[in-house]
Amino acid sequence: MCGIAGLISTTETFPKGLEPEKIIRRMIEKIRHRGPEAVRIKEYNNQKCWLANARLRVSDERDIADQPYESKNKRIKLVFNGEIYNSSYLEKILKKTDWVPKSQSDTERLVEIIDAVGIESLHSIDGMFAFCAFNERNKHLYIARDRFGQKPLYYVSGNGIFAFASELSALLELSPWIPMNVSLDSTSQYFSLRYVPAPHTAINPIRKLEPGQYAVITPKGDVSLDRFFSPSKTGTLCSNDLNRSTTEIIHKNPEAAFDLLLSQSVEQTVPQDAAIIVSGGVDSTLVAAYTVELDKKMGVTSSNRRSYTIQLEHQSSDESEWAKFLTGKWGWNHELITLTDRQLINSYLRISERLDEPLGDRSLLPSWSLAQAIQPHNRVAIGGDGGDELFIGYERYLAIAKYLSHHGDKINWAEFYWKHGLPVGDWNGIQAANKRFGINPMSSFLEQMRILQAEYSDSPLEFLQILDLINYLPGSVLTKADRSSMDWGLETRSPLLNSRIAVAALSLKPKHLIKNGNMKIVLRNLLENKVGKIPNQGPKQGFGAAIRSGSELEMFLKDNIQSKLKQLIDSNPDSYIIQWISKFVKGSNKWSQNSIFSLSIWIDWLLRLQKEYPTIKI
Amino acid sequence: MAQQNQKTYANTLFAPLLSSNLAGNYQRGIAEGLWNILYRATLIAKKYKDKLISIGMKATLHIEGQPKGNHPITYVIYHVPFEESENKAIGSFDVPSIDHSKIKHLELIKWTIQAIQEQSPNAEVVLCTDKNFGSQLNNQDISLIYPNVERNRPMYYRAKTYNTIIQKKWIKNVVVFLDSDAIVLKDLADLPKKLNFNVGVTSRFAPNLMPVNEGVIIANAQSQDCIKFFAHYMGTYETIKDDSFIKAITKNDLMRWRGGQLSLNAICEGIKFVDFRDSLGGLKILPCNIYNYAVRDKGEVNTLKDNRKVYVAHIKGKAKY
Repeated sequence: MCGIAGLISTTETFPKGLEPEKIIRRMIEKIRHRGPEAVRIKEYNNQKCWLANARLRVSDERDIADQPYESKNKRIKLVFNGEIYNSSYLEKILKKTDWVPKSQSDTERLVEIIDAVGIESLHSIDGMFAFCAFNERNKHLYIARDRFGQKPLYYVSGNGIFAFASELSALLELSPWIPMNVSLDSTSQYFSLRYVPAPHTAINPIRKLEPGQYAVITPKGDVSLDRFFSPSKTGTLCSNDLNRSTTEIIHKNPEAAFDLLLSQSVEQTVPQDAAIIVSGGVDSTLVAAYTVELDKKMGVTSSNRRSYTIQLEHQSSDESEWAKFLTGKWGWNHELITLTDRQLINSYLRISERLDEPLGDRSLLPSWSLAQAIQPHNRVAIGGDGGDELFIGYERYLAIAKYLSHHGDKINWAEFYWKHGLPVGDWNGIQAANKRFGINPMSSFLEQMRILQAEYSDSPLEFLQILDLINYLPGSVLTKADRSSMDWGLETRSPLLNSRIAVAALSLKPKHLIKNGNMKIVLRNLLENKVGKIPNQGPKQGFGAAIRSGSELEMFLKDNIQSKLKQLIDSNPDSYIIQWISKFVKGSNKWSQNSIFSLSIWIDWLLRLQKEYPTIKI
Repeated sequence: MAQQNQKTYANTLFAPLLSSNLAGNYQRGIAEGLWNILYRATLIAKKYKDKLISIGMKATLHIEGQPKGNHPITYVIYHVPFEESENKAIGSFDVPSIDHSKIKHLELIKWTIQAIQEQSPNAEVVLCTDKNFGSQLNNQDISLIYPNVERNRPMYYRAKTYNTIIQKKWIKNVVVFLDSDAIVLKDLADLPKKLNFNVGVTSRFAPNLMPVNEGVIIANAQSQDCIKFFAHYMGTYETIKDDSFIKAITKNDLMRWRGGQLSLNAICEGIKFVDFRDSLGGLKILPCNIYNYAVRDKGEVNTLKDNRKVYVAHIKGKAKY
């Protein structure tokens, strides 16, 4: 797990005043928290290509595995963030050639498979990753992001430069040479969704790769985007007879299929020294139960396995009690962390000083605190992200799907879901502000989702599932997981987001996943087979309830908004962005916990940007 | 034995789930070849867009007869048979060879026409063909038009015929360019309005195939988006058909095969895989599994018709037997 960055000249020389070595160092230092154990910078192509890596040494701790990493024939230079889960499979393929491994690192397997197969190798790579491969022979650059967007990758081009990085903040270092401004459209989208959806970012002209996307950059700086994966309930698996028969196998006995897939995934994903996050919900507990089996198989002493549960002071303790009970039964070294409002405020203060792009997901606070607690003991933590999206686990889906089914084509389903299922800012306030500036940044986005709606017109539940997989999961859930853990140099993995599990899960129909009002039924059945009956815990609470009405945290956030919003308006009254915010705030009648948190984070981010990067236009 | 069964089960399950490597799911030679030609064509289409549009606007041919063009929707089918003596093999590196003697084109086209007339009774059906083949369909209540073409270069002349129909503004409302083996199961007339597009193309994901398929193209015929789209498509075709890099990989005459689909993919700016999120302005990318579904055999068409979800069933390759 790492932070990666790169700087490439697409003309004869870099622009005047840009010293590449100095800038690439500043870029990588900005994201050093992602990989504090080794920072390396290398130049190629007569100093026209600079690659940098800040490494968290997880897979092969020796310095021979540090990056940038070259293929055996020196043709491919790679910087890579993430983990390749099927690197032993790649090794088997590579060993059929004359390749002899130098290290145990997945980076070496990745660079060699890219060298051997080219960018097409993406189809056979399983894992969470963002990487850049520079081909010394044709001087092309390839950048890619994993199938579900677990690892981020930002890029920018202009003024004879192409650059990329794991976080937006690193690219801001180029603002003196590439004109940048805060995007009004993205600001509006952020308050509608709680994140800026890919490919856009909060800053123009910086972009981020979408999940399952890659780009080829020519020496002249032409950028060609393409995809290697797109989640689909009908297209991915059913495009030929072979896949149809696989679907039939899965449908015949889903539990047997997922038992096998999960065992394999946990074996590939969970190292012996990883911490296990057990929330007491179905997904993370299931992953933990498979880890118990893996430990038995591998002879790992159970008391060496650390596990963590986090709960908020005011939340019911049903789930955490069950987690405590199970981990006790397994003999694990378990820690229950109870967070008070004061601790959450402290988390907020740290996060708001560091967040590279605004993210209005309230569970950022407890996730960050959890990473803080784990990091001193472990480099890797295992969770259950993706389970709710892949196996239809959100209770909100049922009510919304019923409504959509009733109204059919008359409404835009995505718009309805985002307004009522995942509300953030008050849509009246957003619309009033958009109208004032003659913008409607959600319109083409919503129009595209109409195509998805038509595809799943007979199954609103599946529509919601795909909608969340391509938007909410990468935009909010996984971004939160990445930023909160990487801020502490902790790698988080989710065995449920293994590519095979994901594709198999997408082939399941709602009838396989919902029975008698219980959701994620396949996972529940598997879990009950492992640990006995799941206690009735009432509605799922999650971390979303972090801000109680009238609490110390809520008062803090409101106070933060009031004092800083005025400061912001006074500092730059002519800015369209600030005028938009002002109009939005005035036009909003409802202030939910989501909208309070989103606004507070956004204001702090903008103030910091103003201070640190005065050349960026607001 | 139980262990052996478990291993077989695991292999059957694992291999296809990472669209990757085994059992014929992914053929590296084809996938790489396609990637290279698509990449090259996409760069050309993007870089010289304005020039190509200008070339395409003039790239028309003589057509005897013309559609009525005033129906709410017009379906255009192209079928100009090869000469009897002509070798019908496609001969492209990415297309499996099939036995053409087993395909009854006349029957297939009659089925295609009948399906349109059933599902879309207010539609005009236009068949672009030659007089000999057209005479066998005189009683089908269709419009026959006769483009001046070279028979052994079907893909080039099909694209040019489509482009001529659009550039001459013969059709006023919605037009659907349909392969002669594509069976309409639901009327497409409302789609441009419902999904707010001027041009809709269909795409699929299979590692050994080009993503955007030429078999179904839906458009508001007189919109500027449509006129420019077809001009760009044809202009790209005119340019890449002589491209030595692409010809070196395909090793065949791009006017005979491959050039049309390659041009179409190039202007949709997808190298290997596009989906609905890649829709640009008035151009929408629609999923093949709803709007252009490749059936396993002819029998599957009826199953799809009963399900009422798929709009067009496409009978490709050996499924035509």
